[in-house]
Amino acid sequence: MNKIYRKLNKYFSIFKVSVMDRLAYPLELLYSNIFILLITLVMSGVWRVVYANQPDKIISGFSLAGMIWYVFMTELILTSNPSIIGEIGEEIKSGNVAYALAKPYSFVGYYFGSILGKTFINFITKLFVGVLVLICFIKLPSLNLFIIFAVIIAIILALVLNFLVSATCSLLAFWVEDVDSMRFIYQKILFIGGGLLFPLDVYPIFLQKILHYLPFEGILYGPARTFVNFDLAYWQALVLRQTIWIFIFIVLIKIVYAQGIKKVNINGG
Amino acid sequence: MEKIIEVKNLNKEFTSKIKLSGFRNSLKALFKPEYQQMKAVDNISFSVAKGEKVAFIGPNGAGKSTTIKMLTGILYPSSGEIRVDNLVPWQDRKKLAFKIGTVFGQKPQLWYHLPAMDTFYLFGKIYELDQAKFQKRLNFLIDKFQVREFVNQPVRKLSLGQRMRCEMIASLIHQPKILFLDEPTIGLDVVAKQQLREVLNLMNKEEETTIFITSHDAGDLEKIADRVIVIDRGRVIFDGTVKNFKDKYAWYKLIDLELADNHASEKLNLRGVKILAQDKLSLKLEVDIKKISVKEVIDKLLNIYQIADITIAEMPMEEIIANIYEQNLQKIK
Repeated sequence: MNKIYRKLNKYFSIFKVSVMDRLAYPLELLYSNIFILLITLVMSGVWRVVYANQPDKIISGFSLAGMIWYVFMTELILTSNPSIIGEIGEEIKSGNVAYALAKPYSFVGYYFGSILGKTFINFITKLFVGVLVLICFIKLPSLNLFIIFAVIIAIILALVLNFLVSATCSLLAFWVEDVDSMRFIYQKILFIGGGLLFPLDVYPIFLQKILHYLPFEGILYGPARTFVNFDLAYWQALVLRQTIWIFIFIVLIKIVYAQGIKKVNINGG
Repeated sequence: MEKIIEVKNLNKEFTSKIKLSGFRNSLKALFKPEYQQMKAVDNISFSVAKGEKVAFIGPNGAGKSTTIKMLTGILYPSSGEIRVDNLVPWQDRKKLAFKIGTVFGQKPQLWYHLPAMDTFYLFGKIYELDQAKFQKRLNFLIDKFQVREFVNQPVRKLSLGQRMRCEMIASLIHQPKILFLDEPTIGLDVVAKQQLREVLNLMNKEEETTIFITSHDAGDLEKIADRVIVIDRGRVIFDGTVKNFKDKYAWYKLIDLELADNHASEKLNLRGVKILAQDKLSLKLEVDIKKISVKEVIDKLLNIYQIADITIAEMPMEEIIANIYEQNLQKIK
């Protein structure tokens, strides 16, 4: 038990140091995270026009205010994660991955702690700035303590899942070296399949069904919908799906990394 | 003496893609890539005793870095055996990581925007150290390395010398048995180099830390190492004490003469002796000791000149190293 605690504690310590590192320049942190307001403003302008033509002021179960909060939430999750694929991919491409082998930690585990540290602090800053401004103009969705707890769980799982999917893509750098194109493709898939710009509910039913079985729904749509239109049954299914995907990607990363690291052994030096 | 590193018949080959220049060859390489086998390490064997300070030197591309990477478990060898503190590095990487410290001059481990202290605490957790032991060790190292006054300043604000001392602390925090250093003094000024060397010697003396260092700096060799291994194109070409190293590769000595009388008109003509500088009351000579002995030269000088003072100096270590590297280049050409 003590051994497991020490192992987990080392990655949590990396997380804490990463948080401290991100807090080293508080003003820069604030400037770089204010951008979310601009995106939300533009998107809310677009949705206002769309809603103006809707007689019942509801689209796929979302009111205008709900839709703006939805867009804010998906943007919040997406933009809180710094470029994971680029960051890990660069470490592999430059050969720096080899240095991690001489230290008693896992390479992916180290980046898990360090990237989630940055993500966490970006998320909090954006959330604080965004909510503070948005509540001046639109009403908050109806929340209670349980819903807040449910949303926090869904968001944590979403951030972890996003890290794992991104890390899997970045590990392909062992073979293709440059993973920039991978980052581009993943982002676009997330835009559409994850429901960044509009909720998955606007798609035809068959497409929605397919998307529910892919990991991207659990990264953006799931937590945002839980925040805006809470539904206990949906939340339970979401958390289950997120957990399964997290497990699948952990196994996948282990396999891909074990194969990839042999490549370093061949090319290194 | 207990052996802490044992290397037997170690080989490492790399396969690299080759492509000739030009558009046509680029297309050809796309469909029919050609590969070349390169031997980076060629059947080397050596052992290092516990507490020894070994300098591992050689020109660029000689195989130093590849060897260090195999010793630290980063690379698999193509064939041969390595044991580091009774562990096979590439099989027992994580176990070995607790026993070794690494300082790669070009790969900093400190968090740049945070005080070095934060990295030390992080390393305490990474190496799973007991809190009380860690605190005691940290205080000990902070005092030895004299970093207390700047250890709480962000790393980006430290000088390179201060930063390198903190890097060393990060590598020694878990009290490793062996410290691998790859070019640790690169870019440091004279004082910083001296401080670093002093501390390394101290750690070696007080904790019997084995030191394995690669460097192009002659001072590191003279001030730290008690043994030198020279590697050239993947092969060990010398393995012995620093003194033996000088004896083998130093091909000249310098003689400085202060003369009692003006001997400017006297001509010195000896095979193997080159006049480097001459004026009325002094003479500087380079003696090729493979052609003529120093004793012979001094005998002749005493016959010709009235000598007030004489100094004999050895060939500077930097030149010895440069000489080996040049020989290597010529062989390649």
